[in-house]
Amino acid sequence: MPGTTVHSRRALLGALAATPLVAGLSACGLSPQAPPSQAPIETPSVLSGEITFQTWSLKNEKFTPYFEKLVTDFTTQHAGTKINWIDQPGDGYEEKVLQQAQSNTLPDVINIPPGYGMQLAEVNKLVDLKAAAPDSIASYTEGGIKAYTYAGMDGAYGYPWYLGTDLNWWNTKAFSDYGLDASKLPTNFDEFFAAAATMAEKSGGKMPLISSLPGLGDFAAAGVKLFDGTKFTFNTPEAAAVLQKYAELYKQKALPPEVLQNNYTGNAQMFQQGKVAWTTATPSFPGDLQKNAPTLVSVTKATPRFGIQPMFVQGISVSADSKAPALALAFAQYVTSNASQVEFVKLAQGFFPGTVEANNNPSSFTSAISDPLTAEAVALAATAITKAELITPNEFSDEMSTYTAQQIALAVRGDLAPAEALDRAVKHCNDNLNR
Amino acid sequence: MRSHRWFTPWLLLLPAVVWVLVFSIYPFVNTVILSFTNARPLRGGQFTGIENYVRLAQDPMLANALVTTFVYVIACVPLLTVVPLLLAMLVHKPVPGIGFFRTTAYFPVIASVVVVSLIWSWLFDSRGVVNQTLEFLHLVNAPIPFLVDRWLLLGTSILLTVWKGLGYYMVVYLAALGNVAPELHEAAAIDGAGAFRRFLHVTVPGVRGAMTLVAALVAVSAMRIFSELYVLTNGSGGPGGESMSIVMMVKQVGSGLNGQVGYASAVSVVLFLLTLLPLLLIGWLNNRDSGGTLGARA
Amino acid sequence: MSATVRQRPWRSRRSFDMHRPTLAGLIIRYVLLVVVVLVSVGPFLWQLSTSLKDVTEDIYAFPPQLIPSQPTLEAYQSVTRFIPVYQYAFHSLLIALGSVASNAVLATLAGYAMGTMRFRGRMLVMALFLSTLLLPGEVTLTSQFLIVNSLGLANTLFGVYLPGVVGAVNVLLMMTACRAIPQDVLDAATIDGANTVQRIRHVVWPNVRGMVAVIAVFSFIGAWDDFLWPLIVLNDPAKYTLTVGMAFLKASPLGVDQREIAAGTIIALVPILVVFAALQRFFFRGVESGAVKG
Repeated sequence: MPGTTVHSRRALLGALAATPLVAGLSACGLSPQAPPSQAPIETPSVLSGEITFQTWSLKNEKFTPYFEKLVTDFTTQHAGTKINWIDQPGDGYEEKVLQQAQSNTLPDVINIPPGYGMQLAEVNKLVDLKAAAPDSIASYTEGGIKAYTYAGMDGAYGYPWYLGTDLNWWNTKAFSDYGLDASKLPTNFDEFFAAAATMAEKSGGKMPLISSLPGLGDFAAAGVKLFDGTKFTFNTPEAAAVLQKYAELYKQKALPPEVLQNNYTGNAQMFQQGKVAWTTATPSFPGDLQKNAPTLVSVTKATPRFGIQPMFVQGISVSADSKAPALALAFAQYVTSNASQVEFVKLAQGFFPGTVEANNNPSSFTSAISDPLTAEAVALAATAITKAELITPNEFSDEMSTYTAQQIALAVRGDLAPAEALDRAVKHCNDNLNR
Repeated sequence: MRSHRWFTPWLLLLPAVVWVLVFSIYPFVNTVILSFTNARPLRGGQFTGIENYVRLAQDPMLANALVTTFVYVIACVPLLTVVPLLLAMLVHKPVPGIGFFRTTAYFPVIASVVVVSLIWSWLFDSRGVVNQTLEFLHLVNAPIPFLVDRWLLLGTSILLTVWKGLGYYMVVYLAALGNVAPELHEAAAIDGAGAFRRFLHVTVPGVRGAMTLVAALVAVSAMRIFSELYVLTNGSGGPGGESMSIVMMVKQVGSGLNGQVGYASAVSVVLFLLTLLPLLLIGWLNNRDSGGTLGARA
Repeated sequence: MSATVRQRPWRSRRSFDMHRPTLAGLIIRYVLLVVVVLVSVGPFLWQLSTSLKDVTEDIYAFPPQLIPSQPTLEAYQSVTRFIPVYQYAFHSLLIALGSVASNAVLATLAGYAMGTMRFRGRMLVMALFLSTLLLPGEVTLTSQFLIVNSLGLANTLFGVYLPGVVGAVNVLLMMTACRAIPQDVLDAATIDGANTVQRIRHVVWPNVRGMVAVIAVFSFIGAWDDFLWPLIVLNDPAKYTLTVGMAFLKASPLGVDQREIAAGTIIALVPILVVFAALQRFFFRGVESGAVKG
């Protein structure tokens, strides 16, 4: 018995061992995905098929009825079609989209920000909307389409869906409590820093003004060029000077220690908790205030951002692997049609639609706003957004953002020279660019 | 006596072995292979030899992660080896109602680590209960930045891990204590030994095997620490990434649509190799203390 | 305890019975136990209290109010309204029960083989199981996903269940338990003509039931609390498990309500606490029946 079994067992083990390694080389991502072709998509007169529509963190009391109605209206108009609406939680969306892309299950119509779109477009996972439906592009704002146009590629890979910008929000009570004039809120960075220093001093460090770390937006406002088309370039003396200022203010306790954690919504949270006297937020902020900090509503005031007004874009893209491309394209256009966008923005108060027509008639969506503070903020934002720019380069991934924030935090805390922090960040970002 | 055919053990073992090979060994082998490439998700990659490892040797992020992780191991191993033993001794004796106490001591283990970390970040926030109590008792003048300062954060996180793990290792000790024959205690007591001496000379030798096992389990688990630090720093890893553990670094570097999968794999391989270190140390200590026979019972 | 008379749980100082503490010792013991309970349960109580507070009560107020002034189930209602909690809990339950069943059976079979049989390659297999304890599991999740995906099981509950069918730790535990069965008992059964299956059913199983309870609890907890893996595998929110569903509560662009998060965490906790409380007797008994031999 033993003699023969040894041979057969060894052979079996050997075979078992070899196959995974071979399969692994192709299965584990060492071979890239094959590109599909890009050509205009013909829309048949009768649409049919089944597609999946995915949104990001929009399934809640406010928006669920809207999306359900959107889907029902479309499927009633086009009998024989079926749309599955799914929504993903806010955290971890990038990983989720990546897994969907890797397993070829990317939803046919998908809501993604421009940065993700770039990564997917570069590996041919998204439909080039300019090539597929050239006539549709004109109805969207130029800035919106530009957000989804990427370096080295001709097409547009997403329809702009909702745009946003944010404003400065001030706690006027903190201003008057600590010897500052609440009617003369800062209008530029110098006044901002001066106010921060005074407030820190007068409150003994108990009421910091500043609630977030400096970022690319602050450097851009100081005239620094962030990305020159092939590499990052924000490690300039001007940027270092900005960082240095923040480091000094941190020492004076004008920033609370929590900012070092770079929590994306942390500044707004701290403002609502009464921990800081300033935050940036979209015009929808009063809604949160009423829910979480009703006592602050009467003493909160909004002003436009100083420096560069940032623009945030969320868009709708179409998967290149879709099994029903005509239906997917038609639905994507439906979701981002003027009527749909206006209805959406009436709910998402404080945001702006991506169509040219709606932006020319702001009252079509702002009339739905009942809260005076929000209305005032939206009016401010509407003017501001005309000058808004996309500040963050698409190549700046979430991981680069985390790393850069880590270095900036070190510099603000005084543990690293600002110039060196920026050098490290730039080097890391450049090392991680896709070649 | 030979009571089964040659293939019976293999048949019984087949599911378990296949599972372990497919879901544990193979992914790891995959990772090792990837560590020699510059792979990225969706884009594939090419073999680059030991380039990743060379880069690792100079990476300050790794150095930080190593420090954080090793501090974790050094703190958790003694705490989670000794305190659960004491706890086990406390709940070992069947006083009335002991079932209730044992069960509640095990509760922290049952909850998911994410849930517990959320609760912790809530408690230790600068306006959280802990700080407010300290200020109320006038022990401090200003809130202690438990979640921001590097070492305080580490301490808070270690506290979390220890709190959560006590019940788990307590159970291991309960099993071991059950094996220490009561007669030994009685004999020692008759000989005049007090409670403390009995602990040292009867209990501890009896649970020595369990202590080694627990120390090893804690060490391995501490090397792989992730969720606590991730939730407490809100995913940011602290300024300069100084509160990141090795696994956190793997996740940060390797995640995302253009994550560096090859590099992250190299870090994972390094983690695997490093995990052997505390184990070797524990094995050596155990060997030395018990006079040279290494785990002969196994 | 040999007396037929019912004894008090403690003894007087002078009587000699070292297995019962003195009254003073007993009191100290109870005090310590109460401290342990408070420490273990305290944070959960605090979370429970936060979840019951209504919107007007400031959750950051000091001194901290453990008892809400106007307790309300509103947070729970909003959570259950927007997350199909029962559906998700059901999914988690399916996976957890499946994991318990497959682990109990397969780990016992494997443990029996490892613990009582002699065969060539035993040491190799042992090394295999031990080595998996060292592998950093968290970092291999993506590779595991690719495997599950290639089997066509991405986005299915079965795909979530699959890697957890049998765990190396459970095998090792069952091996230890099977080791503890005296060889003569097994030999006697063989002499009586029992084959392997019969031996396992009639001799081994009754003896290792305690340890099976232990791995059942471990498997259940492991499957129930798992977050990262189901998050990766499942795309369709209709299929989510409870832990993943709770992730919907955090970071929504409309703001974070600590009360709802607290309610969510309590909802995720209660089922498993209940299950454990119901099974704890078997669990601890299994532990104490000499499961880990020195």
